[in-house]
Amino acid sequence: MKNFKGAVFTIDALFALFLASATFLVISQSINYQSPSLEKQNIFFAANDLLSVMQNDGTLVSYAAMSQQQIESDLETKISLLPENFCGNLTVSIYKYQSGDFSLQKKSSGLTGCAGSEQSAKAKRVFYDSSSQQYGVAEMGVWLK
Amino acid sequence: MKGVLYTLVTYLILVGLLAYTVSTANTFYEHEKIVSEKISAEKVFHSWNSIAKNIAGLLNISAVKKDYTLTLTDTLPSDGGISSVLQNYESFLKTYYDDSIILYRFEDASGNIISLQNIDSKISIIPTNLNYSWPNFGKNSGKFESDAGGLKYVKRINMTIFVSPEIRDLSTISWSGYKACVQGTTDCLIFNLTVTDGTKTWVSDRDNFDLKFQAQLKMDLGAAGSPNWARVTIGKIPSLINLDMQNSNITQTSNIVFNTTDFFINYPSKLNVSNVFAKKVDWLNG
Repeated sequence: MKNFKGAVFTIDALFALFLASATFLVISQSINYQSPSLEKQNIFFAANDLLSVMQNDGTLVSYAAMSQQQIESDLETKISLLPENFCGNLTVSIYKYQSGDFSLQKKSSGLTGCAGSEQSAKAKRVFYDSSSQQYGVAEMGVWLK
Repeated sequence: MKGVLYTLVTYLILVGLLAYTVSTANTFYEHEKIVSEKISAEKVFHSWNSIAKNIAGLLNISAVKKDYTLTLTDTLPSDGGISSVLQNYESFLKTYYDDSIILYRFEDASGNIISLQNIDSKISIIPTNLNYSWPNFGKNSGKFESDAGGLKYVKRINMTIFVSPEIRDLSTISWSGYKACVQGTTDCLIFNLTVTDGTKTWVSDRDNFDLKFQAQLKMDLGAAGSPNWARVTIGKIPSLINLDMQNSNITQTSNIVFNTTDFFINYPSKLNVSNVFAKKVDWLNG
């Protein structure tokens, strides 16, 4: 009878331990939870903020009159404005409509030089330069280091 | 009795734990959903803005609003095929901007799909009913129009016209048919005009025009005997200012001062941008 009581107490104690561990696990998980969408939102905002500024202040349109090297140098400067823990790739492609089709005039990229990640966000802008009648697309990918 | 009590307490703890887990999971799910929807809405908003931002450039005009003043710059006639530029812009969007997740289309007032090259050749300043229009995108003339109600929003228009070729003779430039506003004039336009070719400059000494009458200023340009001229016609309401020319180019910059800051520019097409979660439909504006 004594042995049986011991077994019950042991099982009871183990069960209590299990319950305590489960409670602790659930609570700690909910406290330390990091939303994947929230991370995505932050990198999405970073990509869009940079492109919005570049479109609104006329930077994108000004690229139509620049050489590929000048654009690349400027893109490197712009992409370095990203927060330190962010990586990015910014590409600008400029086209001209000629003989019934769009021909690529220049394509320039700026990179932060860190490896890609699954958690990335992409943003895109379209622009037009009326003086040279050139059409352009700026694409930006941002991810966490 | 003790056993029953322990079982009951254990059961309650388990149920509480389960309820907490379900509630937390639900909160996280809702949160993820809200963030996803927010990102989708932002994508639509940015796409809409990016496409709309280029319309002034496509029409080869500049329209800048600052406080009470709209500064509108335009060159007449058009030096390129604006219709083809608009058509090419749509093709460009389809080929290089479309990602098949975000859908966009240009619409008329009733929501029917239209092609950008077929939009009316005019811009409107809302809510003042002031329109700036061309006969077509060839821009052989440019006209400001407004009804009497809209005119009440306009404090004055200061216009500078750059002409090419050069002004032939400054001394021959003068208004014809001019009628000044007097007490009781209902439709009066305060209009300051400067004409320059970069070297010679003519400044109008008349600055208030009774729009019940038509005043006209014709400037001969280029060498003597050449058929080049530019003309500014004021009135009659609803026509405020009409600019036309022959064998000449004019670039007009108008500072239109309103008595309100609450105005914006509408282009004659709506832009509809949508994805699964969000949609933005509005007149192209600036």
